[in-house]
Order: sequence, then C-alpha cells, then structure tokens
Amino acid sequence: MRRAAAALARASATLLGVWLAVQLLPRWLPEDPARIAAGEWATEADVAALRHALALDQSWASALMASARGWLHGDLGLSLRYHRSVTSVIGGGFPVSLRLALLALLISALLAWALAIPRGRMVRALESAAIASPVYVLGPLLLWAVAQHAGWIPVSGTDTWAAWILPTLSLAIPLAGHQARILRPQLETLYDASGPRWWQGLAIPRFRLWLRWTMPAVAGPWLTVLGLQLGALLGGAVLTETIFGLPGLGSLLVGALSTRDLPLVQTTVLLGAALYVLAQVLVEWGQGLLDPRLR
Amino acid sequence: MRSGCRAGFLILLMSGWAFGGDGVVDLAHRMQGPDGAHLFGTDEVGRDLLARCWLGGARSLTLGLALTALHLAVGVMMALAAQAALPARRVVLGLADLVASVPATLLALLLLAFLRPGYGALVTALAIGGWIAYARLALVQLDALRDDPSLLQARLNGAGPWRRLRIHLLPRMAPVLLAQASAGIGAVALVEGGLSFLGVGLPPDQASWGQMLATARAYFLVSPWPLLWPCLGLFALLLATGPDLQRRSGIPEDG
Repeated sequence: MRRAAAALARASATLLGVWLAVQLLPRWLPEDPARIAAGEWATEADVAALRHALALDQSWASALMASARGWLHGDLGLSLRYHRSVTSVIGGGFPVSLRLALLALLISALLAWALAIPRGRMVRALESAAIASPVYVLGPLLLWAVAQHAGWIPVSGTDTWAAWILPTLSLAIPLAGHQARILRPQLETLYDASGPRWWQGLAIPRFRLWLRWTMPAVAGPWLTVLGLQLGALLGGAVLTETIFGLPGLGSLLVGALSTRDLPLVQTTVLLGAALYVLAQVLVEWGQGLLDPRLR
Repeated sequence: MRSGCRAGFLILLMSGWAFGGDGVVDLAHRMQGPDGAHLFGTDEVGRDLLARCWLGGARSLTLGLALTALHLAVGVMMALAAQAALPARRVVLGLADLVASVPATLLALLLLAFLRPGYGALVTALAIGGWIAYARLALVQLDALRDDPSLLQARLNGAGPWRRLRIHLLPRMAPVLLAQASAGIGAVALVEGGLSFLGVGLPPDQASWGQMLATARAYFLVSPWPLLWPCLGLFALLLATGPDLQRRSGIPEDG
C-alpha cells in the first residue's frame, strides 16, 4: 500500500508537469499555432479570432489560470475540428480504445504464456519473430491475407465481435513477444531451481499449480511490462486504429494533430499520460498483493 | 556465425546509400512482379522496389545508429549530472518520469505537429524520449560503482574527473549500455517507421519503409510485392538488432 501511495504521489506530480507542458509548449514553439490551425487562406482577422479563442493573446499566467478554472469545472474547451465540446468528442473515442486495449492485452497475456512455458528453439524463434513484427507490418499483412478470402472476417468496423479479431491480433502478437521475453528466463530459473520436479508427482491439476505457484513466483516483472503496455494502449493505439479505421482516441489524435486542433490535442495527450501513470499505480498495487515482501 | 549474419545484413543495408535510389517513375511498367529487369518488382508508379527498399532501409538504419549514439551520450551525461548532486538527481529523475509518461510515438507525433517539417523535427521528435532508458541504466551502475575501491584509489592518486570517467567508469558501464543500444537501433527504426507510416516521418519524396507500407496498403490486391518487401525488410532489421546480441555479451536478458 505504501508503494502504491508513493507511486500515486509521483504520478500526480508527473501529471501536473504534463499539464503545464501541453498548456505552455504551443506558446513557445517557433510557429504560431493559431496561424497553422486557421489554415493557409485565413485572413488576419480569422487568425486573431482564433488566437483569442485559444487564449493565446493573453499572458501565459492568465491563460493557465483560465484553463485550470475550466478544467476544474469539467469544461475542457471546444474542439476546433468537430465544433463540439472536447469532452463529448473524447467520450466517443475512449470506449473504442479501452475495448481494443483490454482485448489486445488479454490475448497477448495468453499468447505470452503459451510462448514462454515450452522450451526449445522453435518457440524462441517464434518469440523473436513476434517481437520483430510491429503492428504496422502485421496489420497490413493480416489484411492482405484475409483479403484473399473475402468475407471471411470483416476487415474494418466495430459493430461485430469478428471485426475486432484483426486489430486485436496485430496489436497482441508483438506485445506477447515482449512479455514472453521477460517471462522465459524467469520460468527457466524457477524450474531449474526446483531441481527434480517433485511437484510433477503431486496429484495437483496443472492449471492449479500454475495459478498458485508458478504465476505468483514470476509475475512481478511481467506485471510491470503489462502495466507499461496497458498504459501505452489506453491513450489510443494510434497505428492500429489508423490501419483498421477504428474511431478511438488514437485516430482522434492523428486527426486533431493534422488539423492542429489544439484543445483536442492537449486533452488527448493529457488523458493518455494520465491513463499511463494510472496503469503504473495499479501495477504497484497489484505487485503488493502478489508479493508480501513489497507490502 | 549468427552474429556474423546480423552484421552482414546491417552492412548490406547500409550499402543502400551507394546502390539504392528513390527510383524513376515509369508508368508503363507499374505494379509488376519480380522479373529480370526489376528483381523485387515495381511499385504503383513503376519505380524499382529493390532500389527503394534498399535506400529506405539505409535511411532507417542510419537514423537508428545516429540517434542511438545521441541517446547514449545524453543518457550518460544526464546520469553523471544526476549523480553529482541530490537536487540535480531529483531534476533528472523527475524529467525522466515526465517524458516517459507520454508514450514514444505519441510524444513524437505531438512534436512533429508543431515543428517545421524536415529532418530537424524528426530527429528532435525521436531524440526527446530516447535518452531515458540509458540514463536510468547508467545511474544504477554509477551508484553501484560509487564506493568502489579502485575509484577511491584513482582519486587518491590524483586522477581528475575526466580520467576517472574514461579509465574507470565507462569501460565498466559499457557492456550493459551497449546491449541496450543494440536493441535501441531497432527501437528508433521502429518508431521512425511508424511515423513515416502516418506520413509525418521522413519526407514523402524520399523512400522509406513506413511510407512504402502505407502506400502499398491501397494496392495490395493488385500486386502484393510493394507491401511484402518493406515488411520483410523491417522484420529482418528488427531481428538483426534484436536481443540475441545481448546474450553474446554475457548479459542476462532480463537484466
């Protein structure tokens, strides 16, 4: 619990830093964000109006105060691109990203254990191959493979469960490779240390053995990696969502960046960072549950 | 033998600067499969895929090498600064936490949106978060070496800070840092590929794997080759910079 509390305190400080950075950085960049956002054919008056709307014409201190006041009241500003409140835009994208993240993480955890438990060159090669297959390689390749037999699995959309198979797989496979790389050496030392496998003689079902003995013994570093992956995914899997056309936080962010939608960019990045550190706090807490030495 | 294969592949890829090219548009011969004139086939406007893949790979690898060297140098300097004084340590570790709390691709995208496009912006975007892993590793090792008798001896013998660093610290820190760096080359190429895939990485007139992949997605039913070769290239590059090199240097993979 103390570790989790310390992690929470660190996380709050970090988030304050990220908030300051996303609020202040656009002011100090070489190009005027309002001019870029207004577009090539904007008149001076348009740019001035936009500067006013984004509070870029105020001093940084008063803009910061105004923004803080807005945030405390739950008003995150208006998206320039969608002409709706940032809260409602993000509220539409977050469930998609959340579902993708949880599905991918679940599948990757199952795959990781399946890769890490058996020994031999074959699974090692598979593990290396999984790590060397980034999502923007796997995604198009899977799409190509499925396109050979049209109608087999839907290649885009979010309506049916089958539509999630391809995005989930292309995200989960590289993640599973990274997890297996952490798990394998630990499992090997664990099995080697237990000498003759006395536990094989016990009439305990294999799954129960794994749940009560193997998994808690090696879960620490694995959970850390899992937490990092979850945190990175929750803020939007930018590439996966782009490849499969999923309307999550990742594709929102890409759209917001290309149209320089400053309020949406600021909120998405801050939300991504918040979810990232939240995942780490959860991991600290989970490790305390698993390992009594850390309590 | 296997590390020979890896090194051979990386050198071969690097020679793309000499033998590769961005290709010449030849609409009469577009979307062709591999044949005698074009060993890898041609893309959607008839450019030679072999030349484009080769040069694109060389660009990725060069960026990977240059940025990893930069990350390594900045990381070690940050760790040295952090070890020098407690306030500096707080600042460095706090900064590392801050930057690390935004995922690498997200951070790079954010910077690229608001910087003037070009190599300068790309290098900044890739460099901003990369030093953290090296700084944390180096700091752990510097802390472990802090009370080492040989360093005390060197200090008593009147060795200056530069000499202590060069003779006593860097050689001992090198194995762990270099093992991290070998994977770091692939990691930089991975993020660069993703950014180029999204169209904000390398300039669009210059061949790069990410951008080739993004374009080929629209045509893979006509000809799969423009999609397959960059995929294969990235796969091979990530395998070649992958973790087996670590085992050779005697560092456990989970270390």
